[in-house]
Amino acid sequence: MSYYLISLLGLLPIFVILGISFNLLLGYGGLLSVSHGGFFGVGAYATAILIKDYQLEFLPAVLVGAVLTGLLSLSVGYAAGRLSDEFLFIVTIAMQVALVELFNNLELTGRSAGIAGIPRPTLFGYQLESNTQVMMMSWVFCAIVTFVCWRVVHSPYGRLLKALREDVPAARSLGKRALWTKVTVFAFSSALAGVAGGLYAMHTLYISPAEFTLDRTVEILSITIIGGMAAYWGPFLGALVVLALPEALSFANIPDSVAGPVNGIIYTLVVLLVLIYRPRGLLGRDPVKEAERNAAKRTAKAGGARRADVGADAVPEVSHSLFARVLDEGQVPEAKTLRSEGIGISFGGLKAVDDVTLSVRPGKITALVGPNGAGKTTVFNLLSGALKADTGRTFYGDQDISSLSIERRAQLGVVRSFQEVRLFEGMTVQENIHVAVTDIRHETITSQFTPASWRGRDQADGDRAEQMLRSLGLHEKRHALARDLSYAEQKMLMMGRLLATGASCYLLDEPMSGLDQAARAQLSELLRQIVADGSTSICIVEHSMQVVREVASWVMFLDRGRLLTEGEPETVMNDPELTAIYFGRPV
Amino acid sequence: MDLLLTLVKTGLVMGLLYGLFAYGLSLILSVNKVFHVAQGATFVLSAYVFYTLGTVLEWPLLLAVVGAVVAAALIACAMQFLVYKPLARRDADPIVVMVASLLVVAFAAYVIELLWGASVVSALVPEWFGWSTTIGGIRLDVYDLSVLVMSLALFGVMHWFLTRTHAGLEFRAVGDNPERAQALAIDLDRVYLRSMILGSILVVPAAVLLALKAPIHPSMGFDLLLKAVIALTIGGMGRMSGAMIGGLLVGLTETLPLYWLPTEWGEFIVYIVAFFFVLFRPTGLVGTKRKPRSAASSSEHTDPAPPSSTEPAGTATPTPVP
Repeated sequence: MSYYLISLLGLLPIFVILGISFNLLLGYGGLLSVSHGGFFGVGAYATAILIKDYQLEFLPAVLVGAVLTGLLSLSVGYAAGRLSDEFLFIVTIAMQVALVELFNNLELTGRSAGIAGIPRPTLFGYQLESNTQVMMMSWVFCAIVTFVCWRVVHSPYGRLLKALREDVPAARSLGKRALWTKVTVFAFSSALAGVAGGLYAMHTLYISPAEFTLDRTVEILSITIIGGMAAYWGPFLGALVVLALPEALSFANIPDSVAGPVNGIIYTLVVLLVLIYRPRGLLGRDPVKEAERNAAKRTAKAGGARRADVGADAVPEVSHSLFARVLDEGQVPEAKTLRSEGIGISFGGLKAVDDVTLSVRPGKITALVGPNGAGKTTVFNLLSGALKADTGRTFYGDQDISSLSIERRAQLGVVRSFQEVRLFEGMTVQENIHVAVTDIRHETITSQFTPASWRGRDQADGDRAEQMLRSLGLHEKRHALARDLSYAEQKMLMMGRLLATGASCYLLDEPMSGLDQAARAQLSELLRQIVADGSTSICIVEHSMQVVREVASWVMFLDRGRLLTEGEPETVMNDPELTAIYFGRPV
Repeated sequence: MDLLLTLVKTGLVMGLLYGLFAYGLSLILSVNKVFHVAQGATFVLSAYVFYTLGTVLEWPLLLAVVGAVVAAALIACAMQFLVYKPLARRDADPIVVMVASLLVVAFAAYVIELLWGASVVSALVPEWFGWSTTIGGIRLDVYDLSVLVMSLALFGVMHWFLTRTHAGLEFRAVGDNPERAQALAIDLDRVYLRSMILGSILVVPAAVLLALKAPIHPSMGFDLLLKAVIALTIGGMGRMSGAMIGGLLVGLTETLPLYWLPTEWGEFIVYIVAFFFVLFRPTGLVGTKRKPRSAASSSEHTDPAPPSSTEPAGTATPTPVP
């Protein structure tokens, strides 16, 4: 009995680490990787070989194992950043099977026989003697990993990860580094799997390729899903269920040949049922309630002082303080013009945009008009960096940004919105803004452990987000999920998210579409205030001539990929020639 | 030289089987928009049903095959009603659907272990199946020939079905644009169920032939599934012809290096090649520059796809274009 218990207690922390690290990928990052079992194996083999053949102490051995695993996973992480779900699935499957094949065929890993007789670990010169001691060591590691991951998940990095899960292009348009974030989360998570592998080798003292196959990955997947995707404490329960089940069955009086498959059937079935009927898992919570609870906790912690502070300026004029924000940071940049010179792009022989030279000037709201298919959105895509131009160059201020990616341009201050709203739908309203407010330098794993991060840097960002929400009139709904807002509110939130980046040039693709008169007036007012400082520029794509008259101070007319004319709204729109093109030529 | 030719032959024959399997996956992917990983479960279960009917119960071969087809169809229905529909009803993430599908494969492997045991079993092989002939130094047996005939016939029939019959056109319409298809009074549920069943039945020939050729075991579902998935990737996702080409390439990649390398490295080579292939050319061999699905779902290219004769319709969204 006690043997069972020790063995179970020794395995539990290892599986918890696996579950937590996998949850980072699947739960928080929305990345389905099926190579976790293989990475687990890499860590196990590396640690075992280093300890057995090179007489290393445990800590350096497991460190090497973790680093090796992390490096191996870089390629997979790269795939995760570049490819869609199916392809990531295939890449990781290929990785998983290739790793097991390697374990099976390499002399170094002992081929299919594996590695037996691994000595117990040494820690700082102290030789661990029993299973119990190894178990305790595993729990210590588990505690450290739990703490570190908690910190990572509840940080700007974790929030960005969730945002990327929801909508990658939207996050990139806010200047977020999608590829880098995904690569690091893969490396981090896999390195943790490597640590778990090292502990596993110490626990069993014998490893073979059969323990690191796809079945193991499915087991890890089950741990995460039973506990709940993105439920932080879920893996504890999940690991307990997955580990205790076979032990429980071993007490029932059935032969091993039956118990094995029955165990598998039960847990796969449980996971399937959870997926279908309780997608949040056993410990998963309603994100809205959780947001409210966290907010309550934070205010309680911050005490009365801040509360009063916030209360004082809680009723500012709508959107006025949005602007004040940029000012008081002293970030007002010199007025820059977004300029393109002769840009063009063609899709398979069709010239979508042909030799367009235009300027989006600061202090002005420029409207890009033209009939459907004129190439307005394509021009936007070229300006924002979503598409690379075949010809021509694009400048922001004096800087040539032609070859910069969408997120680099956003970091320089050129942000864009999409025709669809593209919020991070599964995140709360507050989080949507919070992500945008946060500086990308604070969105790396390592920056979560710097002194500044402990001094409430993120809390300050959060407060700023709250303030913006007040001015947008969305403060009461700050804990609602973005997808539950009304359409007008979603559009407002989208504008707020863009403004929160503190950019200086806004490319807005049909910001007014689908809004009623009142909402349109509110948004127009907001746009006018944005450019009022003279250093910010806005360019909108708009179909409604009425809207253009209302807000635009400069109009550019595009037809069939060419810029026909530009000028004051009245001049351009009273041109009979252009009106004919726009409304269709009378035959 | 003979060895090389034999390896090529083995590779091609295996490749045709992978191709058949991938074809079913591809059909379901393009119509139902589900990455039906659970196809692996269908495959291995129908192989075991065939084994039980033909070998344990000693039914005639043909009846056993029919039994396997029925089993595949039933599994397809079960998948559709018990897993995919409930998931679709709550609007689950594609990732969740894929996870569920993957779990079904593991589930099936355990069920088989429970019912038939974990060790390999051999199906009763009819006497004529052992016949073989040697042409140009290569030994061809009934298995090789039947794989060839069967797969070519199936590809032909499927091509005819998808291009010439009303039901096939419905498949393509739904694959192309479900909303529009529904507006044309096409019953989506019916088409989804049909394509699921049809795609599942397509793996039965592979299951039967493999069961006749070699002993079967519970985890063979995974093995073949992975190869088929890779075939699909190499050939280009969402294209029907891609499945066949991809299958052949996987078969050859698996066997040809064995001319120079020890046998056990065959698998490794396949997966490493696949790994780098997906990494650097995710559109597949026959693909165009745009990514097939990610371009539609996760990139910001909101422009209407430009009309162009060089890009077949099947590249933007997975559509069965034979």
